[in-house]
Amino acid sequence: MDFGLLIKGFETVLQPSGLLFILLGVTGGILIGSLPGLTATMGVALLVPFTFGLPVHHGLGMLLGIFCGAIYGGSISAILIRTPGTPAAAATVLDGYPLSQQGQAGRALTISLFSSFIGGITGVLIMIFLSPQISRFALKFSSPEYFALAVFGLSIIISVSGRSVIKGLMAGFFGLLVSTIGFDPISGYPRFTFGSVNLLEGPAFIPTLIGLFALSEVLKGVEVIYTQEKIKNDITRYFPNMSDIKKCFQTIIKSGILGTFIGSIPGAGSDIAAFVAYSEAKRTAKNPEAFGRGEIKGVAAAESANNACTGGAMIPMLSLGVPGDAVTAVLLGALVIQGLRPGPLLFKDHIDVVYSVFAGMMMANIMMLLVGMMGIRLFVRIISINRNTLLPIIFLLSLVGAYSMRNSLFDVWLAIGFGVIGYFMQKYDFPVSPILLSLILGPMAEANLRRALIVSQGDPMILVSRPISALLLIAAVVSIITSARRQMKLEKQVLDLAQVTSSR
Amino acid sequence: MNRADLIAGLLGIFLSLYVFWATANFPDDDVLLLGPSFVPFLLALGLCLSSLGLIFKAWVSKKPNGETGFNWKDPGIVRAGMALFVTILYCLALPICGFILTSIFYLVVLMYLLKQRNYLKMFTVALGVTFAVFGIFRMMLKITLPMGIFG
Repeated sequence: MDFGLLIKGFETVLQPSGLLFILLGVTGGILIGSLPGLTATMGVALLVPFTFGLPVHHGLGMLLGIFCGAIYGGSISAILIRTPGTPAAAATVLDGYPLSQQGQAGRALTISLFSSFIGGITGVLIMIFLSPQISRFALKFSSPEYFALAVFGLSIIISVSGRSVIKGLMAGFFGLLVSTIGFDPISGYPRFTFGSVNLLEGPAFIPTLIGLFALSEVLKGVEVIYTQEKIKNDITRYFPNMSDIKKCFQTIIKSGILGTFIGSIPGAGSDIAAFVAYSEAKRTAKNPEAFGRGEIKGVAAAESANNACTGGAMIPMLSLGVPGDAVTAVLLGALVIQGLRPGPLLFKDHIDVVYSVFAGMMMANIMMLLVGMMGIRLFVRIISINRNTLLPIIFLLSLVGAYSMRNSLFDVWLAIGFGVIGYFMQKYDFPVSPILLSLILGPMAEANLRRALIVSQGDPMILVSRPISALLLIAAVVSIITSARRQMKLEKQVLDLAQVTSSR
Repeated sequence: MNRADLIAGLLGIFLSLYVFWATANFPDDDVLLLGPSFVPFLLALGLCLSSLGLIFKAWVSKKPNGETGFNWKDPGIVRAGMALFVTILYCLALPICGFILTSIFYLVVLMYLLKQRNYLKMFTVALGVTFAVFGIFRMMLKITLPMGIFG
């Protein structure tokens, strides 16, 4: 860590032209992130060609701005219209949307922005000071550890099951089965594709998400449009109030550190980081039953972790030349196009670029906070539009979002299909969140379980004989037992209440 | 007896039976030890057991737990069904008539269905939203939206 070089990096980034490119990137990123169907990866990939002619510092600043902005932007539509703009915001829906339903959209949006900012800064600081050490630790992750990490994330299925554990488990198994559609990750054998080429890579994640969350919600909205009272979502502030900051600060920092670390593990992206941090926040909370019903800490944990992941994902990319996630893979390509080769040699030959990346990411997060604060009033105005005008617009945006992922009409049908499934699930009190969790973590769990068992020649002890994996599995078991006990208590309370009501 | 849960449980069992049948036809893998059927089989087993649990609970429960019922004649459900029908028509028309024309009609019809009767507002919103979405996706992000026979 060389402070002189860091100051030089800031000097480059803080030039008016440098700031302008970061501002453009952040604003574009927030817009892309908030549009369902457009991911941070897509945003960065779309703008890479525009950066060819720019000086390397400016081009990188703009791309980093898109990266940070898009990850935050995903939370806006997740909170306001129950549609995660990016997969990274999938966990934000769980508490963000209920808050919005309670007339607290402004509160959710401000804490989401603040957590994204603090998480992002945490990620950058860890990236600056601990890159080499974290890279070395992250490289110790192999199949058993990845599998254990996925199981730990999946262990919250029971606690997001709502009123019935059995229904939650059914939804979880259904989601995991859906995640097995397509090529088998090890042998390449096509499973449950019914001969359709469109299903060879499995059901596309974003259209499935749009169907389960957005379309099902819009169908429900159409059903109850005249019976449901309109929720008033006024916003009086651009920044979270002190009591929310005090309540969430510890969670934000903890999730930021967790998110950075998960981001630094190659292959584990910000969606996984957000769910693992959410799971951890819920596990350690005094009132875990409030999660999923509009708990502000749930939004804070998910948003802090997914933005911290941006810094984390840069760590192996810069120091080892191994991208931490899909976006950094595209960024790696952008660096290569500029004639730079990420990895140990980058630190030796182009250390100035490394430090301008550090400074650029820091500035991108600060810019994200400013642009986000200016936009909050505008975002909230979206849900104050009359519902007989807003619902058709959300319908259209959802369908276009599903289509735009692969320019495929099949994906639109997929979204509609999952929309109907989600609608009936909601109607009959089946939780949808376990499906979401399974779709994100299922493929990671399956591929790594089988890889680990192949390595050990079928001996399952490999999963518990390695310290990191054993620790994660123990944490998962503890989480399952405690949440199962809590859920059963809750179910009993609901049953008792129903009996008392019926006896009256 | 909770009928909705009973039906959901039966659907779960049918799905797991299908997975058992399908995985039985997957090839074995002697080299990799665990073939492509290993994980789906385990998951189907889990689904089957939890479905049986739900059926048992539904059978013994005296009072529907959280069941709101499904009345096909309920105006809200009819409205949601019609919105779904219009959406299906939209998807069918999209590759033929293209994004702009189909989306304008789709938005107008949906707004009418939701009892918006300010026709000026309906057409302004439909035109504005359609062209804004088209502009962002097609012009700015270079994502091709269906042009249909007019393209």
